[in-house]
Amino acid sequence: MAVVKRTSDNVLLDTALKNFYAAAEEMGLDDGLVEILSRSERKTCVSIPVEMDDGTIKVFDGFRVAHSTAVGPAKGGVRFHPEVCLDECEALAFMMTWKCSLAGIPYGGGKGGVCCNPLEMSVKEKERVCRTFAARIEPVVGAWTDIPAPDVNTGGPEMVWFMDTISRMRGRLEPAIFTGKPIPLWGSKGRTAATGLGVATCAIELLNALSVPVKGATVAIQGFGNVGTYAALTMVDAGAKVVAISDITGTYYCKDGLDIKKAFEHINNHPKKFLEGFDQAGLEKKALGDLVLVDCDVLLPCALEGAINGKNADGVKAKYIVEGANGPVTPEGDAVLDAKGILVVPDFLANSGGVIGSYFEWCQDLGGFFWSQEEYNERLLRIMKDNFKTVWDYSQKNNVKMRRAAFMAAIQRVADAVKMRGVFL
Amino acid sequence: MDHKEAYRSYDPLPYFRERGWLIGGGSVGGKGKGLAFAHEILMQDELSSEIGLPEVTFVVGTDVFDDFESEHGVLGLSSVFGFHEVEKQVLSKPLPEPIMAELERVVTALPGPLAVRSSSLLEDDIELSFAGKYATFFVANIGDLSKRVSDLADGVKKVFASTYNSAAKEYRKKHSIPKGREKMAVLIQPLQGKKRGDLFYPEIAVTAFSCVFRRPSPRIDKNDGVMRVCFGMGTHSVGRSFARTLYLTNPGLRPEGTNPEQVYLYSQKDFDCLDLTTGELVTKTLVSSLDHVRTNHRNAQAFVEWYGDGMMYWLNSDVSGLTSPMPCFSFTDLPKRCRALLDRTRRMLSFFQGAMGFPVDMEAVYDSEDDRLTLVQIRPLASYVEFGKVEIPEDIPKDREILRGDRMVTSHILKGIKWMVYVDPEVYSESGDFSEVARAVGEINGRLEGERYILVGPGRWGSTNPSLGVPVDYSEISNCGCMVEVGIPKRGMIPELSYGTHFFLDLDLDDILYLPVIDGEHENVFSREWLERNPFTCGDHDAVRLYSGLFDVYLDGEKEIGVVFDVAQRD
Repeated sequence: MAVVKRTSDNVLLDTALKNFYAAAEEMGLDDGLVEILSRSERKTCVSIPVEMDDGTIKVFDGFRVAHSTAVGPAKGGVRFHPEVCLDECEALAFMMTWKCSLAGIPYGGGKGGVCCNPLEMSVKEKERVCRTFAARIEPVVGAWTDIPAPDVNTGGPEMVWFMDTISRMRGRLEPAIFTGKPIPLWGSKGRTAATGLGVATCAIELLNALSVPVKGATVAIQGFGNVGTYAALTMVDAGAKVVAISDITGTYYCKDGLDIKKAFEHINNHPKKFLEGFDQAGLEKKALGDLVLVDCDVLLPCALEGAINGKNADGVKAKYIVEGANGPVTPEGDAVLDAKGILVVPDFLANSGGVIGSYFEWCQDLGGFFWSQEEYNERLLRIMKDNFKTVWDYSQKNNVKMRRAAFMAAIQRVADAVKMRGVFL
Repeated sequence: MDHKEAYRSYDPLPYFRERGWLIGGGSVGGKGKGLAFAHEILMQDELSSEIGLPEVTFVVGTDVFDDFESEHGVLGLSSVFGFHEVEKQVLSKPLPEPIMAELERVVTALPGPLAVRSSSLLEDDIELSFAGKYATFFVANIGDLSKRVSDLADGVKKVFASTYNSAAKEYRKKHSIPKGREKMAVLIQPLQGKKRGDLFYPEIAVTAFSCVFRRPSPRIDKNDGVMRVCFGMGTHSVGRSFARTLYLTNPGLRPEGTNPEQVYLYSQKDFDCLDLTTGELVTKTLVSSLDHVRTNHRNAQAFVEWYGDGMMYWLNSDVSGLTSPMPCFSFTDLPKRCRALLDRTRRMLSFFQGAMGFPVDMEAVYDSEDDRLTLVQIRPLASYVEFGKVEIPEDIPKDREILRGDRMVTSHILKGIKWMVYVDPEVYSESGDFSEVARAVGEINGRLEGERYILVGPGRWGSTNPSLGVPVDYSEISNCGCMVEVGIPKRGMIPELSYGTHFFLDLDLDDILYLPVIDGEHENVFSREWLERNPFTCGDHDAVRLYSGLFDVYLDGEKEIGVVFDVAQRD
């Protein structure tokens, strides 16, 4: 019997399902596995009554979805946004399953959120929303069941309130139940740099796989935020020459290589963390849009979604692109790059350093023992290298592009786990 | 006689004359009147025990300005030269001898640093704003007597010269105020604050408004009152940046939200003060002055926090393990630690609003250690008439709806607008020459003199940070009838209404409507499709487009919905 394909009115969920069905078909995945993996294991809806500062009561809707726990406990963020709904959470939980699978960490996929506008709440109100939400989802989360993390409009403070609430309910400290906590309170060193380090590692591994020397390779990096800065620092440490960086204030180009450490110091001292005003000998200031057109070996788009699109892809001169941001290359852009023979390492693989960082925080919390920055980086590097190799090999063996290969390899690992564990519950 | 009338007919001259504070004759201007009135009515109320006023306020009457004008003909110069040249010329001319003798009396009587403020005749008009159009200067009052007198005279002359700056000229033109009608009085007060090391400044500068016409959220009521606070001199709380906004009934709400990164980005990170060794107004960064702030401000932890790795940490935290921690003035604990400040500000606003019969706008300074609030300036806010109920037409075809927003809407209707000026967010962001875009908008604004238009652009108009919005000056947009700020979250360009800034006071007073639209958000429309489909001409910069047609604006403040649509095509 053919698979009955699910559809959804929610564009995000519908797209996630379509992509999954297409890849599963191409892989020749069992119908039964397709049926199992196209559905979420658990979808939880809760109400969150909160007393606002003015004494009125507001009730918010909250959600937590565990799509799959075949590989390990569900893992994924909690977002606070007025547009959060169950379908959106499910779509994002879906994607987390594949992302964690590909990242080579023992996690399944989950996601959650609260439908609210945090811009209209005071800190105290936000704390009450967090604590009530945590209490409501307490039965379905845990260090070995479902481990939430920060997402849109949530961060360290929210994770602390979540952790504190559940710890108090259970009468014992539960640090490993949420990741993304502040470093002084069961958080992990190295997390800030993890995504950027991972992106750069993929770039270096790609050059190694193609036998292109890293030393002297020219690199352009779009975005000089968290991801871009640490990617740049790692590339420079490996001997590459970063010739261009950019942020919203423009593109900063130097054909002999930029002083990345100086640029890093500059943004740390800038009130808005911008490159605005950065200077060095031989620096040329260019328009923002020029970054992706810079002549270089490796381009790391680490800023905006859709930065390389149907309009500008033809002007890209880089030989290789490693996607640091989420979705920096549009499908139209992808087609143009493919025709030009430019190799693209997909976001899915390249920016998974963040979720690996979450895994490391969990490991340390479970052990109650914290690693040094060096240990953290060394472990991250090893995992990223392995992941790159998995996708590279899959792509070579099955003659598919890396983007497709990454998705298929991810599905494969989850399918294998379901197979091994058997169909039960 | 009602309160409005009592304020209108109040004569401030005896107040200044009796105290021997009047220099020259004529009027004392709007601020002079506000301050005198405030003092006299405050004395009749027990609130006076909780609020201080500058111990002395000398005022140079408008006759001095008139005499200076008739002797040196500055008005004539202003139509020939740019402002800087006018100021240079004004500074080169002497004040009359008797006035110099009076100024000598002032510096002798007031040995500390001085604030020299404009107090113009038209500022007295409750229909007009002029807020921020004229300057305030600070005089360190150091050196020998002749230097001190000449520095003060320069301050007075600079205030005179500010009568002719372009923003003020533009404003008078718009309100059809004939040349020469404006006259300037000058207030001289001891600068409020304390000497801390070699620096002199107030701990906290406050601007407050008794009404919140433009609200960030329906949770704020129009009559709630709002204040903006900054550390150091108030020069940091005007302009559209970095002062902490506190809604008096909901001090926990921040217009920028409560996400630590956003709080950090929108927090004040440097402060203005007078350097008593040089006499200059200087800006110090908090990071380099942290020890000074810690040592000299016992309550520093109520206003300063560390930001690092996505979290805020209190001032005394050990931040050594964090990646590049930075301090900022977040004022997070201010509402809790300085309850009296909020409470007193609220009572003061409501007291003065009652006594003056109008919503009021005031500036004050606060010292948290002494728990002392000193009022330095107060005036009634211009009257503001909202339209009655607005019904948005239900039959607007989708393809003619250009913009729709669902927040911060104040009821109003504007029909039959012929022009729309649009700054394309992509071209703008990628051009890099932001100021040229602002100038190109100004050029069209000048061309459309006498006609109103709809102004649409990314982020915040008038932002000092071009990545957050087009850095226009008020004079470059003064003819617009409706300003639309389009939020482009992907580019980090988000509208923000800082009511405490002079820029937005102008919008209220000039009846310029405001509509924020967030691209991609539910119930919001930013129709790129309409903008691409319809013909336009480019301004001096490719990012600036001018559309001609017929546009209607409907703003329904009750339901918080605002739309701009194209009516030309309807028939």
